[in-house]
Amino acid sequence: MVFSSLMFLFCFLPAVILLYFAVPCKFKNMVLFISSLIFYAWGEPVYVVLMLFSTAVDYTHGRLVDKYKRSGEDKKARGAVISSVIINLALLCFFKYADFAVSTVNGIFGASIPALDLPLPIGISFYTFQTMSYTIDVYRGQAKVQKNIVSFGAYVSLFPQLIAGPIVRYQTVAEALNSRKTTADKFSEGVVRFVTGLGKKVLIANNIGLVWDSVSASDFSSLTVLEAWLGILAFTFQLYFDFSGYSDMAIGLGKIFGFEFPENFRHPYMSRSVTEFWRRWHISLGVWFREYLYIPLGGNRCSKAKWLRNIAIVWLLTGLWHGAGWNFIIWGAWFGLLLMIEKLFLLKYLQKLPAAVGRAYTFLLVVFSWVLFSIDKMPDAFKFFGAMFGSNHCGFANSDAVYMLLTNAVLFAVAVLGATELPLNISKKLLGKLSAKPVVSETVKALFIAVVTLLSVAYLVDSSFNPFLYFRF
Amino acid sequence: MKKRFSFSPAILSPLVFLLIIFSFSLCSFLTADREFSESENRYLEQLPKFSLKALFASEFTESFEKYVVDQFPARDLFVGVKAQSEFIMGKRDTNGIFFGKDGYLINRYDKTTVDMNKFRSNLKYISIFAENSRAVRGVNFYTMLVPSAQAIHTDKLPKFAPGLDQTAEFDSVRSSAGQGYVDVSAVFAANRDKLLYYKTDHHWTTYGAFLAYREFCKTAGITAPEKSDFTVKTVSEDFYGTAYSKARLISTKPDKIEIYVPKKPLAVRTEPDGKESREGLYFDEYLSKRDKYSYFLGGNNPLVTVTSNAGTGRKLLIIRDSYAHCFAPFAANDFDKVFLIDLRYYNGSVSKFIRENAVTDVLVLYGMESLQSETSIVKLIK
Repeated sequence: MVFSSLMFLFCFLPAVILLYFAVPCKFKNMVLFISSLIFYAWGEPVYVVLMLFSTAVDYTHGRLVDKYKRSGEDKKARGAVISSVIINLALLCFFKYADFAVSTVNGIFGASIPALDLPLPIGISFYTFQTMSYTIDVYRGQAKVQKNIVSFGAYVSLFPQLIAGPIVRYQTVAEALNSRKTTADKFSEGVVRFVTGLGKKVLIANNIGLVWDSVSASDFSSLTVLEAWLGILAFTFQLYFDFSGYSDMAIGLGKIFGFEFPENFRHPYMSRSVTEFWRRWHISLGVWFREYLYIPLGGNRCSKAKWLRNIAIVWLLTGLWHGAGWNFIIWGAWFGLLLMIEKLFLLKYLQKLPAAVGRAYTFLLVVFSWVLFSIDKMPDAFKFFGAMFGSNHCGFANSDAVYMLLTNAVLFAVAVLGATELPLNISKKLLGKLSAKPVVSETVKALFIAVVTLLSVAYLVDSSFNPFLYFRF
Repeated sequence: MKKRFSFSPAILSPLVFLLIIFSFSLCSFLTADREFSESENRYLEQLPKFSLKALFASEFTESFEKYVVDQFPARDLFVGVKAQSEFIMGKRDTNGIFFGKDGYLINRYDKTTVDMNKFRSNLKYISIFAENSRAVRGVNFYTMLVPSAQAIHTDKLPKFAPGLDQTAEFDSVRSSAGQGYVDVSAVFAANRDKLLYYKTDHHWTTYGAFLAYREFCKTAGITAPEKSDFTVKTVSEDFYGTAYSKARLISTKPDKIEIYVPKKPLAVRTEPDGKESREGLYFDEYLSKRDKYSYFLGGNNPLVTVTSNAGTGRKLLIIRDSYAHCFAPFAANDFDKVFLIDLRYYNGSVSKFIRENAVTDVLVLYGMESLQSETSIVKLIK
């Protein structure tokens, strides 16, 4: 199930909210656990077994780590952590990377090992990373062991962030799992946040995505320069509004149920360097790799050669995490390389340049990276780069391109402004001015909720509206 | 984990949000389920039966989700809100419909999605069938395709909107059909300032069909009728067609449906397959429904037989899609019998049908778009 569906908004969510607030405190985690399992099972009922397996395995490992730590057997505790990490990575590799490995081996050795063709369990990249964080946090003493398996299950399967993050490390929600409360203010904040995310996803991402759909479906060797740029810029904004919208919805739902999830995006397209971009884009993933891979490898407190090696490892894996395909590895390598260059010398100069130059430089490099990200065949990606720079000799624009530009100009303008800090600053200022009159400011918020929700519903209903043209006509 | 809701203004936004999600979900679960959507012209999903087998095959969840979506309250209203908001945002097409000039809602047809192989095989099936019919049965054979509105009304498309060039397709139809080719494109292009297509529907108007019938007559050696041979009668001024279903702009004005009543009296009976035959060519009951185009011949049927007292001794079989519905009434003036076979639903042998009913003339009549997507034309040579 996805948040941006009528099923979620008008069946699942009302039922869960009703149940959650109707039961006494000690059953609240149970409600979250069971409803999360239903949420997860909705698309692929069999994989719920996987989730229960993960829960049981990591729960046991956590208890073991805790036990051995208490008895001072550090080696055994370490062993338990390693065992947990191996099991989690094995799950992830089997379901996500097996076919990629098979096709790579087949390609290199000319073998013909049959592919598994398993559907990818939704969110597996997210929840395996979360469960790994649990045993490691317990081992490091950054979190207490969770003795209640229902509470632990609720953490592993927590539906708000199950499918697309943010990746919530165990230590950030450990306390809230055991005791939390929803206040009117928090509920209100949560609702505003959720609806903001819904609007970003349904009203902006889905619609600007149509531009990319139509461009990416065409033959790249016949694209004009304008079409190619409109297409990849549309994808640039689609990805941001889709992903950050989903994170907003997750964070909002978390607040409704009394959790505080970490922020995942802070206006990344405003960044003045690629280094800064990765501190603002998919923050929880960056933090995970930093805490559990980069720093344990030695981070930057080692020789220059090792430091560069660490960056290379982290970024190749970051690329691979995004998808099982060579284009993702190359995409990761592209960023690894840029970060090395910036850290070695470029950053110093960037900081001295005007903000606009830094922003333009970063935005452009990121847009190039999305070409690699979105087009999975390398020759096609290069053809697309060719189209962007006119080397396919199709001219700058044709009437199709102008039509695309004119009919999407408003949407692009909304997306560009929406990706900056401007809307947040304006709303802060406005609500600040109205802070003396809470009734007015709350009415403004409520109006925003009503308009965005109903408009999103209109777009969702429309996407399901499916007139049968020929049957009965 | 105690919740403490004090009566502060902070509860206003949660309240609005909860009100929206609860009222719509209650509304959709408490009201009776609808079985059929008039505006979408399809049966809606009903509450699926639960079974463990269906659950583990993901069938239950899938149907349940469809059920929730299909039974959502005020669907038409929401679709209208979306179309309107797209229009305000400067979009000039939605759900594959252009917001054209002068109130035209024109189907947007994306040529890159066309399966040219299917188009070519369909042409091949038709030409094999034509050869057989001519050689073995000695019938006259004609092929006529209706151009898409997007190809004819390029002047009504939004500014810079991609037009549609169907010249190449029509050229291949012409060369494959040979002497039985009926050219509609030219006469439509010459008359594109007139109402050839409905503004809110993808079909041609009765006037469009009239022009096409005149072209057919020229090829078939029949004296083409003049407009003065008919009394034009408006039977509905309130027709909202398929294009409107997908792009419900508030500003949209309904179409008129006209019929051409011959001045020389004609006795006609229409008999849709398996249904009771009736006098005349028209089905008044559809004028009060949304699907008003079915006023002509009662909509899609595998086989419709129109019998008239034209007294020419000729019998015409039309292999067709829905474009033929308002075309057949013209043919009833010049043929004793007009049979209409819709291959999507007709499963008998067409050759056998021609033999058994002593058909003298065969016309293949499709919209160009259907010929490029239709999968049932292969039945002709079975």
